[in-house]
Amino acid sequence: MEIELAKKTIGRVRQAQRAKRALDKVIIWGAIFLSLVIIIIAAANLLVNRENQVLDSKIQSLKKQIEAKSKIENQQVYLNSKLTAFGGLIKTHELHQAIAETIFSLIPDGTSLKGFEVTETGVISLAGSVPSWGLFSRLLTNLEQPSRPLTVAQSKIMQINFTADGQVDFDLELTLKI
Amino acid sequence: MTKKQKITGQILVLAVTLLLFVRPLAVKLNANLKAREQLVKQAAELSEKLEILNGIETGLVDERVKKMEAVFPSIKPIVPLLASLSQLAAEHSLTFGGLSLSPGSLSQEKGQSDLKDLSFNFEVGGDFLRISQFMKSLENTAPLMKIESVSLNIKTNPLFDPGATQVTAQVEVSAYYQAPPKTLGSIDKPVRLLTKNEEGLLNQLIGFRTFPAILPTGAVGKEDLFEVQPRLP
Repeated sequence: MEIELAKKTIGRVRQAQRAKRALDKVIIWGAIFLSLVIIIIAAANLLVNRENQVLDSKIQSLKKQIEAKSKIENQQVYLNSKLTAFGGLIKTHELHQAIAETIFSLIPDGTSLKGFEVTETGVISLAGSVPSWGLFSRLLTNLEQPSRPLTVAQSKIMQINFTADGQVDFDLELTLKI
Repeated sequence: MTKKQKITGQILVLAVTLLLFVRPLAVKLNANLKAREQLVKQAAELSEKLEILNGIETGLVDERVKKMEAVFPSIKPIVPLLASLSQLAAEHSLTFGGLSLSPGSLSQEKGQSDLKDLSFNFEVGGDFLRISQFMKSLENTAPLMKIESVSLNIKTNPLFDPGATQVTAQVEVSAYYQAPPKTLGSIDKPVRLLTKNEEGLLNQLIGFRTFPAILPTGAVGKEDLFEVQPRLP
C-alpha cells in the first residue's frame, strides 16, 4: 500500500515548473519577436535609405538637366512677367488707336485741329478751326453719319466762333460707342 | 531567481531594448519615409518641369524675347525711339523735327520692375493724308507708343504747290518700358506656361514694325541677357 504523503507538494511543484516553462517560452518567443521587429525595422530603414539615395541622385541629374535649360526658363519667366503689363497696355492701345482713327475719319480735309483729348470719363474734347462754314457743315454731317471703327454716340457743340475772314473756330465734345 | 524577479528582469530588458534599439530605429524609419515622400514629390515636379522645358521651342522663345524687347523694352528706349520716328517720318515723306524729351537717367533704375513711360513731343510736316497714315503706323511701330495728343496746323506752302494742304502736326507720345523681373527662374520653381490669351498677345508682337537702330561696332558688355556664364575651374 502506497501512501501519497507528498501528493499536494508534488502537485504544487509540477504546477510551478509548468508555469516556469510557460514563462521561459514566453520569454524566448518574446525575444525572437523583438529581434524580428528590430531586424524588420532595420531592413526597412536600409531599403528606404537606399531608395532615397537613388531618388536623390535622380533629382541631382534632373537639376543638372534643368540647369542646362536655364536660358529657356529665364526667357519664359521674362515673357510671363512682361506679358502681364503688356496685355493691359495693348488693351488701352487698341482702344486709343480706334479713337484716333475715328477722329481722323471724322475731320474733313482743310480742318485745322488744335487738339483732341480723351478725358477719364471717355469724353473726347475736340477743338480746331475750319476755313469756311461749308467745311464745318461737312464736319457736323460726318458726326451724324456712322463712323468707323467706333461710332459717335453723342456730340455736343460747346462753342463756335465765326471770324471776319469766314473761319469757324469750334470746340466739340464727343462720346464714342466703345 | 524567483519568478517575480525573472518577470521584473524581463520587463526591464524589454524596456531597455525598446528604448535603445526599437525606438531610434522607428524614428529614423519614419524620418526616412517622410524624406522619401518629399523626394518623390520633388522628383515628380522636376521631371514635369524638365518635360515642359524640353517642349519649349528654343528658336521660337528666342525670337519672342527679341521681339518683346524691341516692342516693350526693359530700359528707356531713347535710341530705338529716335530711329523709329525719323525713319517712319522719312518713309511717309514727312519732315520730322522739334523733338523734345527729357529722358533723365539713361541707366536702368535698380530694383524697379514697374511699368514706366517716357513722354515726348515732336513735329511732323506734310500733307494731311500722309500725316494720317503716319499716325496709324506710329502706334504699330516698336517700341510701343501711345499718342497722347495731336495738334494739327494748316501750313500751306504756296511756293511749291499751292493746291496741296501742308499740315504740321505736333504730337505728344508716350513710350513704355519695364525692367526685367528681379529674380529669374530658380530650379525648384515650376515653369508657368503661357495661356492662350498670352499666346495671342505674343502673336500681336509680330504686327509691330521695327526699324534698325544705329549700333556701336565695338563689344559692349553682355550681349545675351539670358546666357549662363561658364563656371571657372
